Amino acid sequence: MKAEGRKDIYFILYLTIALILAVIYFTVPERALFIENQLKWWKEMWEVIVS
Amino acid sequence: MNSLQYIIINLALFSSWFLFLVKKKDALSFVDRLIGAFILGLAQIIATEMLLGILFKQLYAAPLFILNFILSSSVFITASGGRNVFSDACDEIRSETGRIFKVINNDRVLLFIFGVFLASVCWVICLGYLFPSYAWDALWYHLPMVGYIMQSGAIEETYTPWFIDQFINIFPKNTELFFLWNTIFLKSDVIVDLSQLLFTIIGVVTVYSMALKLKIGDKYALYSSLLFFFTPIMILQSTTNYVDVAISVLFLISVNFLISSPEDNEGEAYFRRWPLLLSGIAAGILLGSKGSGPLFIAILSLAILLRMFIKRFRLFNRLVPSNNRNLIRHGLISYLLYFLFPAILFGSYWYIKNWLLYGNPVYPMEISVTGITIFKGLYGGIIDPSPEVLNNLSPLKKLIYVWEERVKYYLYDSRFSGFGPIWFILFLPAILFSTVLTIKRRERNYLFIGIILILTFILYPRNWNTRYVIFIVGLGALSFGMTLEYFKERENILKTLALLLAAYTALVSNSPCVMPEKIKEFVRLPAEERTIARLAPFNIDMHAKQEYGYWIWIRKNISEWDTLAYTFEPLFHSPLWNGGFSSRIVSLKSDTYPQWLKSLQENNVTYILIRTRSAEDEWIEKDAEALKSLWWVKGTTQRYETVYSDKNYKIVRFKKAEG
Repeated sequence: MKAEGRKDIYFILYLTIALILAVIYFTVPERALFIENQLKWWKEMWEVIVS
Repeated sequence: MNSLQYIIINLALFSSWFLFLVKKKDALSFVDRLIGAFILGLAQIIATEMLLGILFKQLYAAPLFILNFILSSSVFITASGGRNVFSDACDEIRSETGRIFKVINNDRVLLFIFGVFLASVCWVICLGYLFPSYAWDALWYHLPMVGYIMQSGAIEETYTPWFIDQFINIFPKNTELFFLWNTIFLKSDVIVDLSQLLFTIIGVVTVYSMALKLKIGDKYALYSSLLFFFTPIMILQSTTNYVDVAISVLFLISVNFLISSPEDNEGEAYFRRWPLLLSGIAAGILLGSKGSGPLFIAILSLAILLRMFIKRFRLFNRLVPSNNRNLIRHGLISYLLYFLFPAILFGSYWYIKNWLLYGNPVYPMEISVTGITIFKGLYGGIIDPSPEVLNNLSPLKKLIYVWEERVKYYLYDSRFSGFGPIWFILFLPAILFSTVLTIKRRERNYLFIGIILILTFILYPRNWNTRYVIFIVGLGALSFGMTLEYFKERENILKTLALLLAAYTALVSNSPCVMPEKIKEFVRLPAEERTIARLAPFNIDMHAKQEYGYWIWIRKNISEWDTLAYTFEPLFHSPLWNGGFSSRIVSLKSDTYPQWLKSLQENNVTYILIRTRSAEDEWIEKDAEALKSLWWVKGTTQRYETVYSDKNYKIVRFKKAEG
């Protein structure tokens, strides 16, 4: 196999691992609450800015 | 005037060391000289404060300014040496920053990441300036160390009636001496909570320098360094008076100076003198910053010695002058002189002092090996229990659990989060990938860094606690830069992912202790009213609510030469001082009233903080009643005047003259 072809495989492998980790990271049960809290924080911040 | 003094001394201190290092161009790159100037400046701050505080007991703003000004002037004169180093340095700074900005400008994603980085740093500065130090340990012992040193002008043991005071005495104080530096000239604690931000920024620069030494291209080195910043625990700790960022960054700096530059000649000595010396000084400052310092020194020493032996073995097979092969002369002596000696010089004082005073260098922690107690202490291991949820997990599962960040918000000392998504999603696989790649390519520098950082990570107690091991993110950042460069033809996806995650991290690294309503309120408040009690951060609120009243009163009313006596174990010592730590506090507890009264007078107490219905409260009331009954005697006035009272506490003005 050519070096470039091997690189493609490594790249796909790296991306696949990163993607799996991203799914694990963003789907833990607490993430929804975490993001909700942050949205609340920014919503409040926005109200402060516009008020 | 205070601000001017602070700016002048900092400019003189850091610029003189940078100019001094201009002469070392052959041994140190431009970036390494920047880091070196920071380390030498920091070392000067610590050394001069220790000299004035331990030896002369005169650690006050004026002598500290004069001593440092003289030293910096001497360094500047030595540096200039007849040539115009100043214009040389300015030209170099201009050309280097121009080059870096050109690289950033040529890559749109990098430009965006740089923009997010700059915005985040400005935001952190704004928050640090606006809000007081609110973190638990900062109020508990990191800032009180500064307060006690400032009030006595001496670095000495404080009278310790309560357990937490032990920490104020036994904790190595190098980083706290830097906190003191950021307070003493300004006579205000307004920016002291930004002290660690400087370490964060230097950490970013250090990762850049390390990446260049790993032969990572300029652009990718910048990706590494900027992404290193997007570690939530670092962003959040940058506005707290903790020491964790400082520790990890000092460790990375020390490792950085141990890596040889790509330009270094293979046949040269084992380690070059200046980088090794700077590594030793950084390690020394680290050693004197936390009780875990000896672990870092042991691993760094092991790495240096191991590298020497490996190089010695390789040199046998090369045509190298035999002089350079001499392991004892060029290797071990260099190590002892340029690494171990400065490390001990800048870090060992606190351990020796503890050993002499408490019979244990790491008191109150007990040191025992295979059941044999070597140093007796009050407890073994780490004092606070580990979280229940982690107890039954294997070491690897503990790490995964924490790195998944199963939390509702980030916090500066969170035990279940802190590394953020970039670490988990991009850096972790990059470490694996880069390790395989560098083993294949036989790139010794990466493996050298990797072994040091991973070994330290493995050996560090409670390595699942992210704030203790921030340095490992540095390895992740370097690995990602290397991975990105390897895939440079396909880099766009990875770069975009990095940008998205960096922006996400910047947006979600908000502390629940600083809510938008408070930001609005604090922007409108004058500086002297932006207090911890006004902030009422949720991390301490439940415990501190009842203390806010007298904290506010103290902040408003206690002036520079006042002495506040307290008669009970306070929740935190820090709020007992005024805003600039220029007042005095003293713990006065006695069994009898005459004894107590005598100690109030001896200590020139002006205010007394007491608990209502305490023995002291009763004594004061009895004294007032006794004086009332003597109303007919001319010239009798009340010795005590209540100036503040709430349900739980009273502050009483003590009039010594009438005593």
